[in-house]
Amino acid sequence: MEKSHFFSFLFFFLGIAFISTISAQVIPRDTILHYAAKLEDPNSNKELIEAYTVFKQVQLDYQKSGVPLGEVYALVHISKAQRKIGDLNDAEQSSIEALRILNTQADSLRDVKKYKTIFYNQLGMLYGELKDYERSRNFYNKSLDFKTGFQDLAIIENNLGYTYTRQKNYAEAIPHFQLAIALLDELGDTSSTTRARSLNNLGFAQVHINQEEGFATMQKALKINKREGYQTGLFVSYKDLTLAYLYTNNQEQARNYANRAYTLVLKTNNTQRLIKAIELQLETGNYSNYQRYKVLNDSITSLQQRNRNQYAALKYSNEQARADANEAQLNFEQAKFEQKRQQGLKLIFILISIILLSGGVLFYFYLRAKNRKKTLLEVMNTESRISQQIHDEVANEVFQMMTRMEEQDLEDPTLVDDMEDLYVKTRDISKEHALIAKQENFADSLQDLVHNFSNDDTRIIINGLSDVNWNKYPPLKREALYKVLQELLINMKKHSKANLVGLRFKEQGKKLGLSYTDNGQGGPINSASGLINAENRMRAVGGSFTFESNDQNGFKAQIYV
Amino acid sequence: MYKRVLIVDDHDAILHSITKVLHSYKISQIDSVQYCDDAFLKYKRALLDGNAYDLIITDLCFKKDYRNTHLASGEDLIEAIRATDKGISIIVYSMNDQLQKVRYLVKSCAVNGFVCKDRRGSLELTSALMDTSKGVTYLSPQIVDAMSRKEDLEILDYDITLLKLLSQGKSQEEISHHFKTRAIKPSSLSSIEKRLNRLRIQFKAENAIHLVSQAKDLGLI
Repeated sequence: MEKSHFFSFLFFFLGIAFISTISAQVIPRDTILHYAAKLEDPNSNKELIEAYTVFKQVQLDYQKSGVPLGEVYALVHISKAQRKIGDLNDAEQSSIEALRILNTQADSLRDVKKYKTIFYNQLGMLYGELKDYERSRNFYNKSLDFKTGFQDLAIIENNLGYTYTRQKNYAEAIPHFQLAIALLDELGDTSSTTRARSLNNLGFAQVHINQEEGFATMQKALKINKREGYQTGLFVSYKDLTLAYLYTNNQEQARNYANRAYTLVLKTNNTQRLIKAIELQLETGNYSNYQRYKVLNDSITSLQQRNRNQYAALKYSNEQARADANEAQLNFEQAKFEQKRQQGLKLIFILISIILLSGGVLFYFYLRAKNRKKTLLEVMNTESRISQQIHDEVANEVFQMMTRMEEQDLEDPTLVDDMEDLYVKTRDISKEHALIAKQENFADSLQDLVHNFSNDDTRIIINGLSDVNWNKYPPLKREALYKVLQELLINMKKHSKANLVGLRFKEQGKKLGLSYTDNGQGGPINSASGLINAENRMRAVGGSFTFESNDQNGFKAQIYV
Repeated sequence: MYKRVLIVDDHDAILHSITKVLHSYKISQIDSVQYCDDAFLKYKRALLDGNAYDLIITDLCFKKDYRNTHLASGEDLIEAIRATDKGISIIVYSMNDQLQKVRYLVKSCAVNGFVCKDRRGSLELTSALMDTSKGVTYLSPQIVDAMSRKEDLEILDYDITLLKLLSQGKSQEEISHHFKTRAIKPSSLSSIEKRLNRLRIQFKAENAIHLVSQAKDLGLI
């Protein structure tokens, strides 16, 4: 049984993305990709150490050129190499360092989320190897928080299940493997090694809770691995089949698969696997390779020691290199400082003039901006004053007249109707230009506005309004957006006979977008209508307003503020 | 029904029409004033004399003139009265129909009725008198949404995904499966059906195909 080589496809993609964006790399792109692939299916520890060296260099390069995500990319591989070499503590350190860098980046970046998934998964594996399964599962669950694609989800589910297998809690493990397989089904994946891995794990667990079909499931995995020629997977399949048959006391089959594992490993040059294969044979009562086992075991112990020393030396030299680099940087800074002091007066003189000049320019722009804001505020205040006046002097009087006429039993009742019409019109004009009532929640104001126009004849459908962080936008811009939307809706009510209106709010970077669509009669828009106002309003606050209108397709408008 | 009523409005014609509405009930005392300050004094005086008003009908907006006012708007008046008196009924009769204003007055100032001044104002005022005297809050039809929205106009990203899947020709079973495997909730068949029915009403669609085409026309999918 083996845990997944996490997200190899993802690294490949990210790797290419990064390396192609940064051209001034010391290490050629081919080398990086070569070692990234090596880390997935390494033949020996030597390769791991080589890969570690390469990615350490890559990390330093990115650090120097100030590309945090590049550094993270290197750390993915460094941590993986460290884990495979067996230095779990350092691998954890690297993962945590990477997460620290990631936390300084915005989550909205797609790669940041992906990397977080990767590192939480990585930490899950590390704690699994340290036999701290609770923690391990915790990290796996955390990596589930950042919902990525189905394939990643399947891998994480597989890993989660595997923590239970390690605790011999097979009943708990099975649903995770099943979910992993179901997710792969959704992707239409029937033959990947990822699938083989989950199938093998599932079968193994089934056998251990005495479900007969476990063997069939494991055979399926074996078939896939054979077809794909995936050495690691094949070895794991043989190993787990041996163990499974041992568990059910089927000595004959167990011996059969142990022998197959042995012949497979003989073809490759992987000492560790060879030892494991002979161990399996020993367990099935086949002692023919015992002598070889003893020799190998001695040699591997010293080899491991040698590798470990090599790695330790490398680690040290890396620290040294970093220290040297820092010192060189320091010397360089000092030299620069000296130079600067020599050019002192001249430079200061130039600097002062530049500051004065740019200060003047900035001040000019500041004044202009301030002036513009003042003008905008003045316009708004004037508008609301006039609106108040219309309300007090005209609308109120008209209402009074209407009330009096109503009481007098006029001969011509249509007069009162006309009066009512006039009253509504005046009130609307006043409303259109009044200030928005002070409210703690701008989203509510907008909702109210839209509600006033929505009824059984005209349905208005909103999307994304509550997701907008309104506090981000200055009040002037919000006010402008409100007014423009109001004008659009009034226009819709007056002319379009639309029965369906869609409003979609979307934040795009610093801007806020609103798209308005209705299904009414668009018709030719004459420029004297309210829309000129809308355009002016948007321009005044540095936004934009575009629209298209035709007879069949209704009216569409796009606002950015 | 009420016994003593105070009307506050700065227009004679409106005072007159409200008085006319009140006359059709057996109300023993109807007073009217044109300033909020006067209204507050009258209210206090009546309270001291032991024949307190049991209803105040007030406008919100008062025109400024030569007099210096302490309580400048109906809102100020209501706040001043409610600060000490929770028992008296208050009906607002105003041209203002901003929902947030209504919400504020009903929620924070415990106003008993809010009637919009328009052509049906007098009729609605009658209903308001009946309702509030029985302890029921009255709101004019055009602002009744202020307190509880009949419907939520906003549709969620979930709904958009649902519509998208529908537009791809997926059956409800397939949609349910789709949500389940992604751990998106709700994913049960019955809740998907409910959701679709709701969307159909919201989009005024006859059937699923119509629904999808409406959503497409509105640029939502």
